[in-house]
Amino acid sequence: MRQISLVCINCPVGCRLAVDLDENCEFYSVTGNSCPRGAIYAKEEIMLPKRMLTTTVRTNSDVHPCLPVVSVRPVPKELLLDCITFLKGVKIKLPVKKDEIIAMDILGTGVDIVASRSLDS
Amino acid sequence: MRGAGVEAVRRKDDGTFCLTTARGEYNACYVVNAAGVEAAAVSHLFGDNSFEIVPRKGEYLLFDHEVSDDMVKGIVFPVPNEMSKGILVCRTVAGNVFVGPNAMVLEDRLDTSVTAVGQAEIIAGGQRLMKNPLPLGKAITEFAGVRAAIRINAEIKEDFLIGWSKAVPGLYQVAGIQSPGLSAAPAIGEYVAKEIIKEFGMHSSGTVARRGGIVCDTHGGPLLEKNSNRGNVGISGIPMELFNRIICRCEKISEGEIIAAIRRPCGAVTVDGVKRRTRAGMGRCQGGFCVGRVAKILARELGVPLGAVRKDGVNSSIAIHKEKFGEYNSAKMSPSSLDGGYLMERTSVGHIPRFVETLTKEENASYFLDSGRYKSINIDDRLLSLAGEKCNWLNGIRSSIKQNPLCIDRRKVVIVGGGPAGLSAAYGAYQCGVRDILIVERDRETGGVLQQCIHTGFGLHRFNEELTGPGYAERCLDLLKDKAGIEIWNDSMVLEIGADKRLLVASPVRGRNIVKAEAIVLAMGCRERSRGAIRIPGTRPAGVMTAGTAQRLINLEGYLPGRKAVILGSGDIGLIMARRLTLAGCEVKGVFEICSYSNGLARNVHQCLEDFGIPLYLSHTVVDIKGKDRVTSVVIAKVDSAMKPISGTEFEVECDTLLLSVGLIPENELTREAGIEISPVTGGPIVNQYRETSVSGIFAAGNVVQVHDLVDFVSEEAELAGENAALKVQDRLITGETSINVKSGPGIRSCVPQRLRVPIVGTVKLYIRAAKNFKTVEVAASTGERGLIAKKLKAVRPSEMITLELPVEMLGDVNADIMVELKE
Repeated sequence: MRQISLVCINCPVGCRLAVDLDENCEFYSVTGNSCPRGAIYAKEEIMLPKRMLTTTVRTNSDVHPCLPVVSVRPVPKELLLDCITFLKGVKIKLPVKKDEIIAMDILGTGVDIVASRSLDS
Repeated sequence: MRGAGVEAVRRKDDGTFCLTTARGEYNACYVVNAAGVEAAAVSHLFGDNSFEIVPRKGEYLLFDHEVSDDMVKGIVFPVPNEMSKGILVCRTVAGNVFVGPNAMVLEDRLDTSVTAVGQAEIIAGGQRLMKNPLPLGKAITEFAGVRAAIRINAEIKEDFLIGWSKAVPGLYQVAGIQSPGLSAAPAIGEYVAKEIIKEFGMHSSGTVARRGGIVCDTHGGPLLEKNSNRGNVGISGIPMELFNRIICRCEKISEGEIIAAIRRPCGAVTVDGVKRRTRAGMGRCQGGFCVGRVAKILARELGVPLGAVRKDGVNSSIAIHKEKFGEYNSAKMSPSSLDGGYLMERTSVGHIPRFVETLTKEENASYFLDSGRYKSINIDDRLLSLAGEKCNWLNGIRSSIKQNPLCIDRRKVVIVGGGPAGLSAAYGAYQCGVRDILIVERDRETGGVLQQCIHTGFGLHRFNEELTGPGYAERCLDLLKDKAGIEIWNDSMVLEIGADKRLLVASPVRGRNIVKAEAIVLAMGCRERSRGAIRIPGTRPAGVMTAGTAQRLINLEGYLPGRKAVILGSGDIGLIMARRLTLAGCEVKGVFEICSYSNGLARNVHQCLEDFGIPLYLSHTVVDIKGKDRVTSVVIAKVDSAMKPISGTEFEVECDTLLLSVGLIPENELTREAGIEISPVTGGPIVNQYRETSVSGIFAAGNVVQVHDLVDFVSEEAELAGENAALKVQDRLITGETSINVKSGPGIRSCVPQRLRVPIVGTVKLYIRAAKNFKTVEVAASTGERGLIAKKLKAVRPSEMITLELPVEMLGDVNADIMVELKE
């Protein structure tokens, strides 16, 4: 049994979590979270750390050369930089509506990347 | 002809000189040596070794013009010594006060760095002349210049050296022009010109242009055509609307003036060139707001990509195109082409740049009151001097600015600023039934700083979902969509507000407007503290900018500020930018924080630094910046418990970018000029529970009142202010006649609202900031002997705002000051 400490990143509170791991270094239990999302976060951070992806993609516009995009759910942390590299090659033709899908199922993660805002041409 | 240093000189058979420069050879019958600190070096090239230059550096510290009246009206001189006229406290023509200069003999005559020792010297020297302490917290920048003293035969001559060279006929020396050199320069110029004409005669025809009695050659190229615009400083040819788009907010410089400064003879080709000619970037934010916009105007006017625009020197580019970053890393790109390496050459017909080395071309972004009371009348004076003559359209503007009993535009509620506070205030006013609401926003779209905050974490309280900054801004704007009675003016800057609720607004599309409001909500947000505010010594190269300026560059323009960055300040903005730079392809060497703890959220330390292995150094700060045109490294030192650098702990970090995340200041220039009372603790207007300021009918909300950390609270406060502004115009805002104070007791840094109208009606929510970290603490409010409420809290930090709701039932009969405190 081991215990490690984590900071939950779900919301600005940032609860300090104490996570117990079993003999196989797998998730066993968690304390310190003030809401259920913290428990879920602790489990996932041990099994498969994920992060929300936010970046910008290029557009064909001179007035708004960049469109901010966001992942609808967190993507696996180890694929974060690869997703960014993929999105560097994307150029969007305006107009675009908020929540419109920019990249579906990015790099096979099952997570869509959508526009964070609407932009006119 | 710039970028053309003289490298060699020879005498031809016919007696004329041939000068070899980096841009070709030039022949001359007569040469005037006016090379300043390089005058001796130039003189030696000609063979005249009669004098040496002794370089002496002088440092200055410049203060915000808001404290000028507390300092001096004119100049205070000490008794001078042999070296210099001494360290003064003096007003500039622009209305700022400076302290300085000292006098330090240099080894390297090109060293214009600012030093800790030099700054200490001028501060001490200035303080000796002043009764009150110097307002160091209101310093905006430090800089240094090098004087060129003349030494002849080992003796330093403190005088001008003006006259024909004895050793070299045809060479005229104008060297050693020290103080009062600047004031003397025009007269010296006329004198020298007359001397040359007198001695050898000059034909008035040929390749010489005349302007104002002084003979000058404009570009070193062929004569300008008579009909061309080019010889005219030229407000003609620049669309009039552009004189109403304000680019430098601190100094109120318009786009038209910047373009005029670029197009005129010997016009600006760099950001600093624009600054020196127009003052854009000399104000309190030191270019944080406008440097990107000025760079874009330069890029457009010169016909080059943004990445090629330089701050000053040849290698001082400001930005790298993000997409090209991958290409920059490939081996075939030589180092000099990484920054563009463009040399701007102007031909006499338009300006067609010839690139020394080209990168792949890309499309250009083409994007971007009665005299005593309305200070913006100064803009017209500047325009008049540009035009050199009276223009009818300027006179038209002048008369519209004079106080006019029949006002041009009457509105019920006017909101200054279209960020989250302004948008939410409009919503609050609308919900209260007002159908005449005007939002005046200086950027081309609403949203404020949220447009560049592309990360998540917004809206959890207000909209019950986690949004990005742009997403939150869009939701706020959606609440106003299709609602009749709400008008938004984008690209419009409020230049002045009077206590009579009259606003002067400048915009390209509407020109100058006077708007008379029944109620105003101030929602201007805040700006970042610049390098000058924390006075980091060192050189002043390109690559030093605030984190927010870099954030805008990356997220809105698609450019990187550099390749290797150091971040000073571990507040949330610094942490977020550490991650953003890393994801954008920049290497972040470390985040350095002067306190012993990080001010940012724990979640940000984890997901921005730990996730990427970026080291966080607590109790460290930057003590020196190195690099001539562009940052090459910074020097870091550990600090003690008083946050002073510990000698001997310094180490150097190689980088080309330094981002500063060292604090936010509410932007209250308009507030102050309207005569509204401002709190020295928050930096924002003092407000009551209705968010009304000390001027009846003027309300304020958001970061302009105090720096918030959650935008959800900004919206909450702004809706409240909007509602009350609406109630005011409907004559439904019933407030008591008197006010009590809300006092910040032990443990409290600030508390808003600072006043309460009594009798108190309804709940009052206090927004509190702690003075330091507390593990477990009780926040309590009391009046006189009676306690009102107490709440237990855990892990309280100054960077996380606390709210405290005062219970309605206890407030009705309160008529004495309320004290709020934090007790362990």
